[in-house]
Amino acid sequence: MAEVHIVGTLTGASDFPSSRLSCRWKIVAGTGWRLLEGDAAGVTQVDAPEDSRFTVWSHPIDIHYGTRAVTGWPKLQVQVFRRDWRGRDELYGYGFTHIPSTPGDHTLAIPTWRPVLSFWDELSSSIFGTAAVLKNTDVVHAPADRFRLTTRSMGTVHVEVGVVLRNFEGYGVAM
Amino acid sequence: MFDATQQSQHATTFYRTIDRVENFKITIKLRKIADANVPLNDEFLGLDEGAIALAKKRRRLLLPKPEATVISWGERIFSPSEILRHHNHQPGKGSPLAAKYHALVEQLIAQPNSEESRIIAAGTTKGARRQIFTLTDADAYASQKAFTTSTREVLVPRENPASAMRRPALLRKRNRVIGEEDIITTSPVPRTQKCGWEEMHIMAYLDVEQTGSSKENVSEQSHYDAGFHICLCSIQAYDSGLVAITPGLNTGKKPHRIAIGQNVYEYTLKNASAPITEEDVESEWSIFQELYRQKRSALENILTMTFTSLPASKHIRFHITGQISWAERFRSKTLYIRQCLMVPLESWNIDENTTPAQAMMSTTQVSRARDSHGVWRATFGFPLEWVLLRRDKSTERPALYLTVCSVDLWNRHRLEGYGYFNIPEEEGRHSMTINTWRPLGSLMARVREYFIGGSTELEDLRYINMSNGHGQKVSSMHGLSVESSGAIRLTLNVVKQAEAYQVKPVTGKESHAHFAKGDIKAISDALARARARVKALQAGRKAE
Amino acid sequence: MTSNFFSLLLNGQIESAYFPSHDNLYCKFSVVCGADWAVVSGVEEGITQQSISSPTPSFTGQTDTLARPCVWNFPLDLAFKATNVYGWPQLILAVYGHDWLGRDVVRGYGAVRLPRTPGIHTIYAPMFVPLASSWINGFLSWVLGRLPEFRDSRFVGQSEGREVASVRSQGTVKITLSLGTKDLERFGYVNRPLKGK
Repeated sequence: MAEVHIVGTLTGASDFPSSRLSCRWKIVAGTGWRLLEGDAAGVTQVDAPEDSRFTVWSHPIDIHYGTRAVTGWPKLQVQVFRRDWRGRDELYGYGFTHIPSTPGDHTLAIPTWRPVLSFWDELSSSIFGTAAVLKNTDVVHAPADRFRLTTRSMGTVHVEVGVVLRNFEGYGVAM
Repeated sequence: MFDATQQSQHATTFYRTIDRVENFKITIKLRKIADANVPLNDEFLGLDEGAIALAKKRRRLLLPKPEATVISWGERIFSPSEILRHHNHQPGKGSPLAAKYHALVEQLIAQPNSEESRIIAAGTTKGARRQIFTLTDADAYASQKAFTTSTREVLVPRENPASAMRRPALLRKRNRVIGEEDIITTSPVPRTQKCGWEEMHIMAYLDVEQTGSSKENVSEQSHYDAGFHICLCSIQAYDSGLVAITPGLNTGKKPHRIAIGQNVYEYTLKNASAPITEEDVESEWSIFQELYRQKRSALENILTMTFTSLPASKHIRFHITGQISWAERFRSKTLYIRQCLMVPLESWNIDENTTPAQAMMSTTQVSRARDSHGVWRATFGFPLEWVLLRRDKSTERPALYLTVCSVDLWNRHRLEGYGYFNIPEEEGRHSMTINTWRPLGSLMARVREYFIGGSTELEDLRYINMSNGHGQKVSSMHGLSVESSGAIRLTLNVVKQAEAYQVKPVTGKESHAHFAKGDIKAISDALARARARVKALQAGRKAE
Repeated sequence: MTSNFFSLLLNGQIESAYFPSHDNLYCKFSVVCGADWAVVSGVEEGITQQSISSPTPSFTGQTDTLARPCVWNFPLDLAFKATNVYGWPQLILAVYGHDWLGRDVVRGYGAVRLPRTPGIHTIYAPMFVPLASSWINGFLSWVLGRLPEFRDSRFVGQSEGREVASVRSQGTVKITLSLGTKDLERFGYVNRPLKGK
C-alpha cells in the first residue's frame, strides 16, 4: 500500500476585483484512496488586507492518504468568497488544481472563474448580492463537457504544497 | 540524558530532559573566598610552593566552611529569616501557604539540636550556619537579576502563579460552534505564554553586614534579616522537556562568582540526578518500536496491499493529469477551447476503464476575459485526465490539439487559433505556454468573418502537427498563410508505471543488478575482482 | 524500513520584517508540530530584540518593493525527531510593537510551514492581525491600546475554526533557513522526483 503526504499552506489570493476574501477548500481523491490523517476540507479566515494586491490566508494543509492506484490522484478544489460591507459572503470564484505527482515542494497558481448568467441577472445579482452558484461543484474538477456554461475570469489562488511519497518504488512507478 | 547547548557563563543555558523533572537533582557547593579581613588574591605571583600552601591554609581558617547540598526538585529548604518569620506566624491569619510553612517550620524546630532550633534560641539570623535555601514554584518570586541579558518582556513577573502559566493547548470544542470570542480577546495576553512550566530558585543567605553600595544585588529583605538574600540559580522546567538553568551548570573548572562589597563567594552547580541505565534505554526503545509496529499493521489492515498491477512486460502505462489554465492575448474577449487528444493506435492503447470517450474530445466553458496587469486573460481551469498504454517504442506520440474559438454578443463564432502539444515522454510536472496561429483566408473570407462570423478552418486537425511529413522527403507547410494569435497555458503531470521501473529489494551481499543494467565498467570491475580472488587462492594453495 | 525515526535539522535566522505602517518591532516565535514529532535539541520558543527600522531601504519582499526593514537576525537552531511526515512543523510568529502612547500591542501573526526539501530557503511570511468586531470596538481598542489579539498564538497554525477569524494582513517577515533531513529515505519517504530508468 502506497502513501502520499500532502503538506503545505494555502497562502492567499491575488488579482481579484476585491481583496476582502475567504476560501473554502477541499481535497478530492478517487475511489481506492483512503484518508488516513488530516482534514480534507476547510475554510480559511477572511482577510481585508492593507496591501490590496495580495490577500493572505496562510491556511495549513496537512493530509495523509493511503492508496492502491495512481488513478484518482488528489485534486484541490477551491471556492473563493468575497465579504462585502454588509458582512455577506458572495461567491467569487471556483478553481481547482491537481496536486502534483512529483515529490518535492511546488508553488501552484490556481486560476479561478465564476459562472455568469444573462445581463439582467448580472444586474440584479450586483444589487442584491446573490451571485450565481453551481448546483453541483463536481463540474469544477471532473473532466466533462462544459460548453453550456458561461463564466467570467477571476483572480488566482496561491498554494505552496509539498508532496512526500512512500512505498511507490516497489510498484514500478516513476513520477 | 542531558544535552546542553551552552552559551555564556552568566546567561540562561538550556538543557533537555527525557525523564520526568521530579527526578532532577542538583548539587550546589558554596564557598566564601574573600572577606574584609582576607583579601582576594587571584594570583600568587612570585611566591614559592610553601608560601602558597601557607596562605591557602590561613584562608581556610579565617573564612567560614564551604557548604554543599544536594537539592531535589521541589524541595523546600527554609532560610534563617524564614524560619523566624514562620515561627512567629499567627495561626488563622495569612494564606494557606503561610500556614503550611508554619507547620513545617515547627516540625523542624521540634527536632533537637537542629540548626532551626538554634536560630530560634538566638532570636536572630546573625551567625546562622546554613546558608543555602530554596524557593519553589508556590512562592511567587520574580527574579530581577543581572545574570540574564534579556529585555524586561522576557521575565514578566507572574500575576497569578496558580493559574496563568499552566494553560493547556487550545481546546478543540467539537460539539459546539466556535465563536469569535473563543479565539480573539482584547485583554492582555501574557507575552511569555508557553506550555506549562514550573520554577525553582536556589538562594543563599549571606551573613554580611549591609552597606550602601551593595544594595543592588538584594532582592528581599525583612526586619528579621541581618544579612542578604541572593539568588544563586533559577531553574525553569517546561512541560516539553526543556529545562532552563540560569546560570548554567558548571562544566569546566571555573565556578560562578558573586561579590557583595569585599565579600566574594564562589559556587558550583552540578547535575546529581541518577543517570539512565542501559535497561531503561532498551525498554524505552522497545516500547517505541512496538508502538510503531502496531501502527503499521493497523494501516495495512485498512488498505489492502495490492496495488494496481503492472502492465505487461515492455509496456508503459502513462497517467496524465492536468488542466488548461488560461488563454491570453487573443483578439477576442469571450473564448472557448476545444481539446482533442489524438493517440496513434498502432503503438498506443487507451485504457477504457478510466478514460471515457468524452475525455478524448471535449469543450471548455465559454470564458469572459479579464484585464490583469494590462493583459486580457480568460481563465478556464479545465481538467484533463487520461490513462494511456504504450505497447512499443515508436516515434509517434499522442498529441493534444487545441482549437480556440470565440463567440460574441450576437452569437457569431470565429476561430481564434490552433495549437498542439505532444504528450511528454518524461515523467514529472510540465507547465508550458502554447502559442497559437490562425489561418488567414482570402480577403473576401476575412470580410465575411468580420461581419457575419465563420472563419476559414482546417479540414484535418492533424495538419498542425505534421511531424511525419506524410511520407514525403520534405515536410512542408508552405503555402498556408497564417496570423499569430494568443497563447494558452497548460499544465500536465505525467506518471509512468512499468515493470522496468520497479525497484526490487536488494538481497545478498553482492547484487547482480549491475549486470542487468549492462554497465560495462561495473562488469569489468567485477571480473577484475574475481580474477584477483582466484589468484589469491592459487597463491595460497602454492604456499601450502 | 531500516531506521526507527528520521530527523529534521533546522538552522537559520529570523532576519527582518517590513511593516509599512509600523516600526519599533520585536518578534516572538514558537514551533508547532504533530503528535509524532519531538524536539530533540534547541529551544522551541523565543523572543527577539526590539528593532527600529534603518533609514536606508534594502528589503525586497514578496511584491518586489524596496522598503526599510526592522532587522533582528535572530538565530533559529532546532532539531526534530519524527516517525511520520504528518504534522510537519510550522513556525508560528507573532510580531509586537509599541503604539502611539508606547503601549505594547500586537502587529501581526503568521505561520510558516517548514520546507519539505533540504537546502537553503528564503521565506517571506505575510503577517495579519485580528480585526475588532465593529468600528466602535476598533476605536476603543485603539484608544486604550488593547488591540484584539488571539488568545493562543498557535491558532494561526491550525486548520479548524479559522472561519470565524476576520483579519487584516499587514507586513511581511523574512526568514532564511537551511534545512537538512537525515534518514528520511531510509525510513521510506521520498521527497525528490522518483526517476525511472
